[in-house]
Amino acid sequence: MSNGNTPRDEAELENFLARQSPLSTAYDAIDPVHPPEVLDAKILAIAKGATAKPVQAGADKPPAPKPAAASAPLPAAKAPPARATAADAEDDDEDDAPPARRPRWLVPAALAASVLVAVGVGISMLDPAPSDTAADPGATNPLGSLFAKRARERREAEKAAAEVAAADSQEAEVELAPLPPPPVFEPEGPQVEDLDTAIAMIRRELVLANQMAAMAEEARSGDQALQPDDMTTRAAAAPVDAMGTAGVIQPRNRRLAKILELYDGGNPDLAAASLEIFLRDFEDDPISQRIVDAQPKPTDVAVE
Amino acid sequence: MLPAMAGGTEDAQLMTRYATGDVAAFETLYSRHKGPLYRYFLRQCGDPELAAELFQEVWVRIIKARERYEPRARFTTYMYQIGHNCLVDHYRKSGRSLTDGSGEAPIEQIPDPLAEELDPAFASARWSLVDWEQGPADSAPGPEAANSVAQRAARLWSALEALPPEQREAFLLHEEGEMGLAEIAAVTGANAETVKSRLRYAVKKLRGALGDLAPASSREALS
Repeated sequence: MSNGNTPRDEAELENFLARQSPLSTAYDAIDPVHPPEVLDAKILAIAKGATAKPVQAGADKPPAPKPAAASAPLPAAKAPPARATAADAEDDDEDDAPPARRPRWLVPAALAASVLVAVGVGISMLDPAPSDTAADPGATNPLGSLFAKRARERREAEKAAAEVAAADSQEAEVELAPLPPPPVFEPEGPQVEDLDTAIAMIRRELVLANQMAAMAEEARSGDQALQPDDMTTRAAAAPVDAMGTAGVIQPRNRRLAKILELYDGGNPDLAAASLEIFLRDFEDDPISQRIVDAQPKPTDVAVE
Repeated sequence: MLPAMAGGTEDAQLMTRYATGDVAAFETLYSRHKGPLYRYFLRQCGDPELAAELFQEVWVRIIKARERYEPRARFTTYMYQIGHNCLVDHYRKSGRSLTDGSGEAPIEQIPDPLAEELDPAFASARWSLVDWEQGPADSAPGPEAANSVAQRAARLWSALEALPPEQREAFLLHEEGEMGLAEIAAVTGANAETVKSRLRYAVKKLRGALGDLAPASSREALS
């Protein structure tokens, strides 16, 4: 054999298992000890006491003196048949101290009571206002109230979900709708339809203004010895436009020159816008009057 | 050593009768099994007080489980299974284990001195089973023979104490509980092959311990 056992070992083992081995004879020759009689009496007392009371009632304690009839079978002690194993017997030993004071239904009952308390607390927390309860037809029955409440909550939740869905759909529609057109602001001042004519008029105006300014400068530098009365006379004789160009109307000429620069620089739109602003600011200016008069009228367009 | 029994069926009937309140049935059952069970504990742990404690615990458990007892196996198997578990619990509580309680290596790793020093022919000449059985048994039990029997018993007792606990338990379950391999395996929770191995080692060691007490004819053959 691979494990070192010989056929003779196997034969000896077979003899031993068949109780034909001299080992068994030798073992029987050892003094056959027995448990002490005190132990026998104690165990037998336990066995007798166990039949006189329920199974869980501490069978390991010596029984109290009892009448002889106590050993008779007790119908109440009969339990439903179940397989008892060695493990079962050990389990019994673990709970043999308190079983009489701890019924088996105690734990399930405690669990059930805990569940009921938890459910009650939950119901009380979820219970609506008394008016709602009175209006609820299922409020008379607590269980019906619970179901009605849950149904109402479910309906409210569905309704809220539907509202949210509708709002979402509306928002989606709004988002998908075309953007409104930008606001149109009506022009407040005169419009420049014929920009070229206006520019030509501005150009002539500025040329004239420059000529007038040059003349005034020349007159001032050449007539240093003139009397003040002469100066007043010449000034009074000068045209109003020349006086304006050389004095108060100077910013007017600068804005006109700027309009010309924009137009000549290739920005006719900006030039037109600036011109319209100029026409509003200098509404009473002769050049403004002339430019407005030179613009085509709507009736002219209609006639054309 | 166990008295002739009608079998496990009768034990089961006694247990069933006791479950219905028949104390006399329990007394019969107890008287039938008390000796083997007590010796199982005493020779397994070597402590009379501990043996008595474990012995009582087994019977108390049987008494408490009487109404749920269902004879699906031999009562002996049922009883010794409880006993084995009580013993394991005791060892566990005391910080030991049934396997290494003796401080020896597991049985599969135990070097067998007999296997090393004896070849089959030499062992056969040294210790003949036939000679050993027929020697003192057939002769008249004179003082010398009685002394030899006592010496064998003492030697066997010492050898039994020297066995590893699991081997000793297997031997005791066979001798005291009259169990086969399958029942010993069921009681100890080991498989049948392991139990067989344990018994083989136990038999070999015990046989070696008794070899010096072999009959004169065998000793002469050795010399």
